[in-house]
Amino acid sequence: MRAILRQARKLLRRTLLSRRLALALLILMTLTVIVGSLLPQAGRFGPLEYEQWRAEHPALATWMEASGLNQVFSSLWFWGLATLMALNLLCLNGQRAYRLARGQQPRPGVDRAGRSHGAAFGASTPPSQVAEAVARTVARHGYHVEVGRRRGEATCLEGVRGTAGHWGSIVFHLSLLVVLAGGALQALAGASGWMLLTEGQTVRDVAEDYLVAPRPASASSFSGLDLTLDKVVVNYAQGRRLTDLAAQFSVLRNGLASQEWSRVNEPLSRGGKQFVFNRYGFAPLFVLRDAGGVERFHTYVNLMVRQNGEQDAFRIPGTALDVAVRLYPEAVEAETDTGLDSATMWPRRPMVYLVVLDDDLEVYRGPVALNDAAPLPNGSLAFAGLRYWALFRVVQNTGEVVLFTGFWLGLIGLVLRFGLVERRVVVRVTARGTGSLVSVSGAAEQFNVLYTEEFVGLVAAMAKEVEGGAQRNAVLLGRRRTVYSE
Amino acid sequence: MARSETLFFWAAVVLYIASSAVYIAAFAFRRERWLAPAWRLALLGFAAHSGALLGRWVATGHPPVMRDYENAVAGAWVTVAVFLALQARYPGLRGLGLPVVPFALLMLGYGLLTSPRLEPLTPAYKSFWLGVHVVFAWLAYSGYAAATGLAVLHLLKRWAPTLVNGNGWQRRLAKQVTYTRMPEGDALDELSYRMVVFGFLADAVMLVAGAIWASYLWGSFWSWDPVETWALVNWLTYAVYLHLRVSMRWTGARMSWLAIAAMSTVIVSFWGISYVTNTLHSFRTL
Repeated sequence: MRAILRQARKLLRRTLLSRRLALALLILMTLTVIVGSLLPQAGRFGPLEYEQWRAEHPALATWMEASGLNQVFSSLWFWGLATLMALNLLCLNGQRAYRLARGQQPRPGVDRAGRSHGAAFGASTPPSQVAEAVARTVARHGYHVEVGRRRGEATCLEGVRGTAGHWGSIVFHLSLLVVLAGGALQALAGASGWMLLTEGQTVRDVAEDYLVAPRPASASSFSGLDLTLDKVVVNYAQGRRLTDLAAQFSVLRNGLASQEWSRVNEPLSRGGKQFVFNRYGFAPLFVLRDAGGVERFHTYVNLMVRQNGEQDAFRIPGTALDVAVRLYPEAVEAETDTGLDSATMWPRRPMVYLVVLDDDLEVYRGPVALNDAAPLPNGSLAFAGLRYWALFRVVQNTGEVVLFTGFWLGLIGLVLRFGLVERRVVVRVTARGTGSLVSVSGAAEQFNVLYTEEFVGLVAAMAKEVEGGAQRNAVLLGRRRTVYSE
Repeated sequence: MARSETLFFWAAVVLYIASSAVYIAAFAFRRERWLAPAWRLALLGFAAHSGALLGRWVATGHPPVMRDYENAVAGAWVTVAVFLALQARYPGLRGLGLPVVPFALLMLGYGLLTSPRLEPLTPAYKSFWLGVHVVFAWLAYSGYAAATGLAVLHLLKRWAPTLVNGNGWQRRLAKQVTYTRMPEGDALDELSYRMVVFGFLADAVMLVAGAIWASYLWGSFWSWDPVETWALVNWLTYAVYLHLRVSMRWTGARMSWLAIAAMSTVIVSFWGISYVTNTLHSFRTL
């Protein structure tokens, strides 16, 4: 039993420390994400749209629902794959970090063809002096001269630079885990809901006052602060193109009042939540009066379309009246089906075009200006006012700090990894008659071919430093040639 | 378009057409000395292109980050800039102008087919992070495009010795590739890798900046929107490339083929996906 467990542990360890597995998981994840982006996902569309698609493709929808392909990004198997990737990342990079910390660095310059750069030149001075000059040159070029030792009759020096790049790779890969953790924290402990307000309306940060209460309910906390939407500020260029959008709030919390703004790209942050300005529209005030002129009902109707002339509809509660309404913020006469159009989106001369049905019987069709009323058989329906409504997404970004940390670590890691390329040079100085022969070999862990120019420059500098050295910059050992032919 | 923008835009188009014609002629008739004037025409075209972008910036009062037209023109500008920078660093890469300049011309043409009208910046675009996102997107895709071009040149360089014994057009192609004083095959391979690294880094910044911008605009860092998701697919595809290169030590022809294939995810990400599915991220409606 113990042997089996030992074998299983060994297998698990080998699997989790496998680079091939990492690559296979990365490819699998890429393919999964492609599938999820192309197939209709239930979470992306509204329920009506999804049902419509389902009715048009019943067989495909059934198969997709059975296999979980209609909710790829929230399926167990997707998160299982992500978890396996995370474990693999953690184990591989943990091992690398351990080895690096112990000084067990990978040696560069062994691409598949096993090539490195090489050069040689002669000097008229003894090996000890040459070695000193070479060591100075190598150090001046930013290399850390690691070892100076004698092998037989040769003096050997080894210079290395750019080793911090390996830590960059570890930092980057671990940052992916941090981002994943931030995402999980956000999904489990974050919350998101919707709040709809009309100008002048006050709501409290409690579940009942939300249009859609924040979910998951267990993660949401309610600060109870009072929010009053004072005004929605809208600006248009040439009267039609939206250029500015902001909402001013009066906020009351713990007895302290303040005025705050929520703008597009600048959400209001209060009570641990962000109020993200999502959408706006017009909210005309309709007043229903009976034949005696007594007010029976009044409401602001949040029109869900904001382009002038598009139709919306509502039912007056407690009656059989259905009202279709088109709003023209700055009404002008035009050759349209309603006889109206809007010169701009500014609400300077608002007018509504109403079609009122009483139990499916049309009782009124025509334009109604602001402060006018549409006559009905049993009274009138007045267009008594106009305000803006604003929709806010209220989010609790619990994982934000972790996500940002992951983002920055990832960028730092990438810059280190590819900006600091490990390069090594090995120099052997042997006695040759009264002088010396200097053999230099070098390689870069990445971009080894492009390292040629730097290597050639280094060898030239060495030869120059060595007094009386015969300068031969041509690469004699290995198969490198100069990159440029001009 | 503004008047100054129109003048510079069409000047850039004419110069790029002239440059493309000279590049094609240089390769078709094996006139290596024509590469220098072709490159100079491309440089002049780039100067006019810069004027067009500047003119648009002044006329609209905002950087060219909105809608397909501005993205196409700015993206073409960055692509040519990357080519010129590469060519200044590695003079033997003049031949890379053959795919790059016509590609930039096509992007300008595509932009012109969409609406080039002057528009103010809408509230959704008024964000520092959007600026970072768009700039690094251009850099990333230009880097990947340059990597693809270098990969193509690398493959041609590798095939040249086998083409020499082929039929008429194969022998001519072989002579084109060998006579033009390009870097060696290994150097082209590594340059392509280096451009992938450049693109990958810029892509990472683009994704991060986009996520931050999305959190301020929509209240969510990531919503698996198709365009967002394909940007991630892009990045993951090039991550596979880098893993194969660094961990598995793959080099040579198969990496070049992979660089060319990976470019398809860039094309889908930028042009394809917003036409195929519903997305919050439509460049045309944001």
